[in-house]
Amino acid sequence: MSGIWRDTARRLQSNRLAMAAVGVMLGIAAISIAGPLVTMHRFDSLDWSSIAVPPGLRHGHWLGTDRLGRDLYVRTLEGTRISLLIGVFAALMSLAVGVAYGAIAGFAGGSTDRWMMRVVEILSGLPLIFFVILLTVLFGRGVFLLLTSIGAIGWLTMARIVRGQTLSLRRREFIEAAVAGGASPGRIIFKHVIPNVAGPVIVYAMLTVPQMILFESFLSFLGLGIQEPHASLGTLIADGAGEMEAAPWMLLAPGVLLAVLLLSLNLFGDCLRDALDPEEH
Amino acid sequence: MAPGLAEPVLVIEELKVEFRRGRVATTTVREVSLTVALGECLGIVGESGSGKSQIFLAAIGLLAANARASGSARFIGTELLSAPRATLNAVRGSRLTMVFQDPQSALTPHLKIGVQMAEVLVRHRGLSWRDAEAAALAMLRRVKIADPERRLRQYPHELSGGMRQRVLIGMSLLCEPDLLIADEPTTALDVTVQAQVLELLCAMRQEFRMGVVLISHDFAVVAGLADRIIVMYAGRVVESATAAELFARPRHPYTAALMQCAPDLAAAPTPRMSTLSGQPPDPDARIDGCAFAPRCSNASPRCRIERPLLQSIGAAAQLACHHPLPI
Amino acid sequence: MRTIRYFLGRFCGAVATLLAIVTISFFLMRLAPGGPFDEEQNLPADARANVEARYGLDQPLWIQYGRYLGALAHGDFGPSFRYRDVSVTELIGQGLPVSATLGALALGLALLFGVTLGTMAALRQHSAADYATMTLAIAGIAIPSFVLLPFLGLVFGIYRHWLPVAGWEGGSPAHLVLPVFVLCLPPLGTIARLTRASMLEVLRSPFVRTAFAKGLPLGTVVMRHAMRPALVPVAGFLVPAVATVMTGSLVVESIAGLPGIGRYLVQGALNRDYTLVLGMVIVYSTFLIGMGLLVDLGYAWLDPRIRYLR
Repeated sequence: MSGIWRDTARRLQSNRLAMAAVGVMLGIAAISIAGPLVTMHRFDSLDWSSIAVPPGLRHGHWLGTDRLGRDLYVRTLEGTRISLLIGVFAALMSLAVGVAYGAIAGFAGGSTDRWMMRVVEILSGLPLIFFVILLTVLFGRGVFLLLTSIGAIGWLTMARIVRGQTLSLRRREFIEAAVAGGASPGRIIFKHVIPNVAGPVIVYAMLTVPQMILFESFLSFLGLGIQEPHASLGTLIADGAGEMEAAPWMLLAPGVLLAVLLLSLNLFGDCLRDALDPEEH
Repeated sequence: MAPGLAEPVLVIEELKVEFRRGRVATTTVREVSLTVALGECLGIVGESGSGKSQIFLAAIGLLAANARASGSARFIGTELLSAPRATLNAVRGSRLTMVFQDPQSALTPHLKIGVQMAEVLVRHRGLSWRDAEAAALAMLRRVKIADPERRLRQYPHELSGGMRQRVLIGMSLLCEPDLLIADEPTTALDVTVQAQVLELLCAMRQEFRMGVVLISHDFAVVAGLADRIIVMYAGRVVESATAAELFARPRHPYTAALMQCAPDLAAAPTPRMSTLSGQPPDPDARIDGCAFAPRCSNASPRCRIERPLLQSIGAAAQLACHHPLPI
Repeated sequence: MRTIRYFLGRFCGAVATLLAIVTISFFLMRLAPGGPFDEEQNLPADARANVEARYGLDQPLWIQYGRYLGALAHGDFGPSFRYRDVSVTELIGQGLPVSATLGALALGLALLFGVTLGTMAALRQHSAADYATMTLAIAGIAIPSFVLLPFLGLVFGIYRHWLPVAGWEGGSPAHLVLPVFVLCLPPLGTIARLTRASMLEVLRSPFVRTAFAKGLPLGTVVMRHAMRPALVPVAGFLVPAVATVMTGSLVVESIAGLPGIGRYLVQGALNRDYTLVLGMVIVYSTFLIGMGLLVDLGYAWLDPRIRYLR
């Protein structure tokens, strides 16, 4: 088992694109944590003397300010941090839900499995953003709803993967031995099934993070996600797009940052997948 | 059929085929030279991995992308190995054709039989689709496929394995080739169907007066058909002779051992009993001496250091062995 | 015969799914905390009772459900909750052609260029063009439309004045360029990658080898023999592709000010306009499910074996 990881790590390390992507990701994460500490502005502090000024050093607003005089450097980095946190958290949540669902379905087998998978099938066919929108219409906006609805999306494919793995594991001897030995299903699932499906699950979890970040940004962009005065990259881009003609700098920083972040996350996920399964080239 | 005196249709000289995967180079064909004469049937026998198919894949330009062929392969005067694609495309499918071993997957699943056959004539003879399909129909009759009009409109998965192989053979004969290469044409078929396909090949060869190369790992398959037989091991020719000579007096220990593995075609099918133990050498490995030495009952210390060279021993025979079997 | 029975089964399943979606949405809406009129502060009690009666909100839930279904069957989605004199059906009628045009163009371009680029990359494997194409594909997938569209608008609309930044103007081509381009990129990227991987595999098949051995030129082998099997994974992606385009259209229409149903949906969400949102969701779902059925039909054309194996 560990041999696969070592080979994968080796292949990844020799892939310059992957390493560059990792560097970029970690760099962005580092800046988003440490960056705001360097400046005296806060993300919600209003500077009435510098409304909508372009980036410059003289007035201490390195990336300029927005319509309300808020420093964009701080807001962009805070927004990045929030997007990253939400992305990772949502990915973990969908990981937990997906693994549990898939393991139960695969382990139970029979018609339970079939019905559980049918639900997954139907849900996968529909763009869930519409239902998220429906939910926000009904229950209002807010961080909690945001997290719940995002997490409610990513678990589908995870459940499929885990269920497939569980099905093939189920027939292996040590599982049968555990069952014969009288271990409870819960125990079997947690001690035996889950450790063995770790591989593809981790890869897919990594690939889910950019999906979640994208989804959160999407919602925030539409105004249905993170609310004022907090910022996420989505809201900043929305603001910036509105001011595009007069103040293009409001769009550039968060836009470039989000694009680079997503690109590097996706590239890394791709390279990780190729490294685990080097069949193609 | 008298071999050898007609002019050569395919001349292969010092052919070497090498595969590169990363930094590892694997040689599957090592300095092989052979000739096929017009109207002659040449049998090539060897275990899988002996390189017997690779020789002809190289000649017809169908090697994998990471393979390199060096040497020479001349088909009626035209050098094929370095030929541009246009030259190759003009020759193959019309004058030089190849039939592969797995009829199951050798036909395109979403095209009708008629289309797959007719396109050869449309491409090489410039016929209209209607005329080409009529010619295909006639060919289906020649290869003895029942109800050919219906078959023409069917898809490959609607035909049995034996029928598909007949279609493939018919397809390769549409332009009346000078040389037909049949690579393990019977391997994927039932034993009863095997005999029919070989019979068909024999009949077609006489009707069309063409050269045939018959590749197989089984001596029984080449027995009835071949005029001359070449035996290959680990990428090299180890023995070649006329069929009659070879069956009467095999000289190379490998040839003899291989012959004993072949069940008799005429008798009832018997389970294969191998008196040949061990495996052919790893194609990546460097071999000193004779490649067959580890498995040879005649081997001496000399065999492990000095590779026996291929030498002529008579009018139409060659042998590469330090200790051939006694006559 | 077997195929007909199969498709009938699929059709019934599709209708069932749609019914489930409608039902769930409907009950979600009615069970939402607070009624739809709670935010109206100025209604006296009897006026409110009137309005509720008009919307049928005083009836038991299951009667409301039945009436809603009945209305749906006639294509009546009810009046918008925000704009009382506008019916949702009208809005759908206005917005659907816009969104359909955008979506069809985007999907068509994504298929055309995605398959072409993927095939070319497969034919020139490991070349610079191959790597460039695939990197571009990943970029198309990763970079969100709501980042790209404003950027492109900035560059081509404001700095260069070549293209309009927003507006529909009855569907003039200039106004379509940027939105369609941004909308088609994500599916294009995925289709290109799918085609490349699939084509590489198909080109190694025995039947492609036979085709080459027949002396057929590369173009014929690729188009006649390799293309249809290679497109099977792409067909499988079509429904997710439509979903991607639909999702993207929400943003694109909002940014570019295009009067399609996506924009209505977003506005409806921000305004908490229940019937509007519900109606749009149903329209989108219907499209998607219909697309799924079409793709199933398409599979049979791509691979004749499927016709018989069901």
